[in-house]
Amino acid sequence: MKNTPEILWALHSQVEPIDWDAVYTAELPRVYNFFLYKVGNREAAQDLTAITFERAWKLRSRYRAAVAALPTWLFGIARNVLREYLRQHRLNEQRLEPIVSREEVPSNFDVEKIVQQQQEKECLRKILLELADREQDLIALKYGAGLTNREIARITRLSESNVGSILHRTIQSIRTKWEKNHG
Amino acid sequence: MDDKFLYQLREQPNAGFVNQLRKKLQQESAAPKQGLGGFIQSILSNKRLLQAAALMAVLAIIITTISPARALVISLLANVGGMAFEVTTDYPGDHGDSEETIWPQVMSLDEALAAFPHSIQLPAGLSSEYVLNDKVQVYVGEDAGPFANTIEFEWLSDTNRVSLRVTDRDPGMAEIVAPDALEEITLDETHPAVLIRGGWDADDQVWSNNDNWIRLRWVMDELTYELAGPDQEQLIAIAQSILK
Repeated sequence: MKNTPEILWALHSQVEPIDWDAVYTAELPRVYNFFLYKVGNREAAQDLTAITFERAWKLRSRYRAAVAALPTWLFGIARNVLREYLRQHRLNEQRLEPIVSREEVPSNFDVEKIVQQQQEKECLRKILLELADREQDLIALKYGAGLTNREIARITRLSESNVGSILHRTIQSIRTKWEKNHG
Repeated sequence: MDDKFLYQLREQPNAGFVNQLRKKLQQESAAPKQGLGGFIQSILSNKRLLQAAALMAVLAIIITTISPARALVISLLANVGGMAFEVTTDYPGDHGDSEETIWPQVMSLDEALAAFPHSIQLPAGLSSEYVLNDKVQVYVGEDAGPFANTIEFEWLSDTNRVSLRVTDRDPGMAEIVAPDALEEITLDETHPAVLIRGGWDADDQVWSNNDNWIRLRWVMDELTYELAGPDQEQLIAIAQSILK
């Protein structure tokens, strides 16, 4: 049972207006990185982020904090947007378009180091894109969007322990492949 | 476990993109007034909206005075096993003759699995007397309307039939059921499910379970799975064979 301060806080959160500008500032990088981890392509990540926020902004008067936390609601929209995108772009090859080739490299940088970093990123990106959909989803939510296991559980409708164990297994598998490539 | 290397793909979104999108959202927000005050004001200043409001008032009177219409409204929204149901003892409403029938596309198993936009789990727990009907029904594309992205399999034995329907339709969209139709069970520690018994008998205009037909529904990987057949224990065993 909830105690009085919790009930008061819940009531307070119901009446306190949401600062949507602050939501935009805080959540945009997370949503963008979620897409970046999922599709491995900057332009597509930007497009999908824009569609997500436009859709969320249209629906925001319907958002109810009592029903779902903001990240749950927003990433629910983001995942629907992604699903529609993937249906339209069934060719997975498109997702393999490298980001690194278009990264800007400052002129005074150690070129060798930069190249090595880019190769590492590219290797990791390929490993991620080869993951099964669910595992890729959880990695994108965890490391791209920076969500907690609890938040991921709410978004994916998996239990928190299930999220933890899938992530653990997935990270181990990624690490093995990663070390194989860097061993 | 050291997982820091997994963060290295993160980056700040391009500032130009961030500012441009913010501007666009702000412009869209500056559009019409929201809330009850704005709604009433817009109704009063718009003849068409005023007419629509009058029509809604008439509909409200109809709903509260005519029994079948009232029954559609007076019901309880229940959430069982993470799925929504509208529970009512009254008349759920029949579909009119004018309602459009949406036909599935019939395909072989391989074609159907290729056409369906999600990867799905098929049961491994069916006894050998059951044979999969190779005519799999698939609802995809614009013609499928509200059934879009639904796939239906059927297994037949000499005496029985078991079907499996998988859809990405939102499990929050409530189905109308009788109060004693639902039973929540768990398939394993992470998969609650619901048993649904009986349905609306349009001939006799009553809720009925005479056909002893049971449905078992659960959500997995954002897809809703629904097995149907006459034997509850068999359905549960098949469902457990589908779980990941």
